[in-house]
Amino acid sequence: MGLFDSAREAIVNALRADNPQISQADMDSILRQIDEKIANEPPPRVALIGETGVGKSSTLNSLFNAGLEISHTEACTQEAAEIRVPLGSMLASEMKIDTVEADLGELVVYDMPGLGEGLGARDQHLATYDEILRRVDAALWILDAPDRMIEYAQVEMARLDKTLTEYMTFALNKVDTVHPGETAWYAPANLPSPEQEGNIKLRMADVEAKVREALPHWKGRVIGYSATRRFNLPQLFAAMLDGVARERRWVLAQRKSLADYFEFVDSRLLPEGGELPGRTSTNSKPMKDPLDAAREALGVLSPQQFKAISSDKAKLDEWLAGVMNNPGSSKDEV
Amino acid sequence: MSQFGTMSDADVAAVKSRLIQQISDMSDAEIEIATKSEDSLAYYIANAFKAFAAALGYVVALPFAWAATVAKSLYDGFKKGWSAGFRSAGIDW
Repeated sequence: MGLFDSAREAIVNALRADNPQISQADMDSILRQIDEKIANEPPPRVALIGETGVGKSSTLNSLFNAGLEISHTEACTQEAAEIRVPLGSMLASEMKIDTVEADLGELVVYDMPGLGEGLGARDQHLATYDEILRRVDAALWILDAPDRMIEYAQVEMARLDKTLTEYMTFALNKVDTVHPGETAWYAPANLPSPEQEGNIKLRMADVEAKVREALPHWKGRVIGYSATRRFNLPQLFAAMLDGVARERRWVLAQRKSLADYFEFVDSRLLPEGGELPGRTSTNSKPMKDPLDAAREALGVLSPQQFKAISSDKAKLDEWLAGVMNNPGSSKDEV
Repeated sequence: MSQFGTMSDADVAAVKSRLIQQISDMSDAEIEIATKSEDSLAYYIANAFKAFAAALGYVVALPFAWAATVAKSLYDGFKKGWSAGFRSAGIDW
């Protein structure tokens, strides 16, 4: 029984149990309407708020496009026309509304400059932010982790309608650059160093305290992550879902296509056998660098085996191809 | 010295332990996403089903647990991607 057959059978049984007299035509009509409703459900609307350079595009890519560049974006003129943006303002020139063809479906993305410095005519801008936050399913307020820009936005965020910020996620991007800096990131494990991890926690606590000071009603989360390192992406997505209306969460989750964190982890550090979150069974095998595999395989060859292979180019090519295509091959296969 | 340059075996063990914790945190978040999404889809389907049935004059005492079962089977398809879901599998209902 296929996926849909089981769902359809359950629907039909529930209808018949309460309404034994139901006609086949009515049954078909109800099923068709449910199908059409699911098919025509509007795409999720996501607002990304943040200053230029905080990593809004890379965050979008890492959450919805599995690390690939967004292949197609188109200005969403209809949405833009419905929003009252102060004409000729900095907000009008900086805000973009795009329909984005992501990996698993369409999204409408509102790219919004951060509130705070630089934006004149504050009341007008706040009205625009207010309007947009009412329209979107999810909003991420993206901050540069090492930066202190949140102080600028504190006053403005407090002036927004509190229902719009109740579950706002504050996303602290680029945690890999938090003091002592990028060189402290332990790349083989794709983790911060213990010192850096401590500083990231301090920074998150600092932002959380400032947000709570500005928004006493706030129930959202602060998530430290790195879009380019693909670090803490499931945590960020889970936090973002909190702010989505119950009947629309599945629409956003359906588009979830997180960039693979484990692609950046040395497979020798991964636990053996366990299921890795976010990976399906088809890609659960940790990727191994083919050159590393060749070096490793060379290391276990006996001098005789090495001599036999290295003295014959064709044989060497054949052996190398075997090792690089099958990193687990042993010296017994030489 | 371990296979990771100047790191001692103890250091490598510590890194592995932190990586396991990271994997655990990621798993918790993935479960949270799946749970919320299934709940959402169940809620959506239950409401749609009730509304369409009522419009045709039928009464449906739809238990949420039932909708959750339907939602789970649909969501299992969605979570593997829309292409793996029932639509592009060519399953037409």
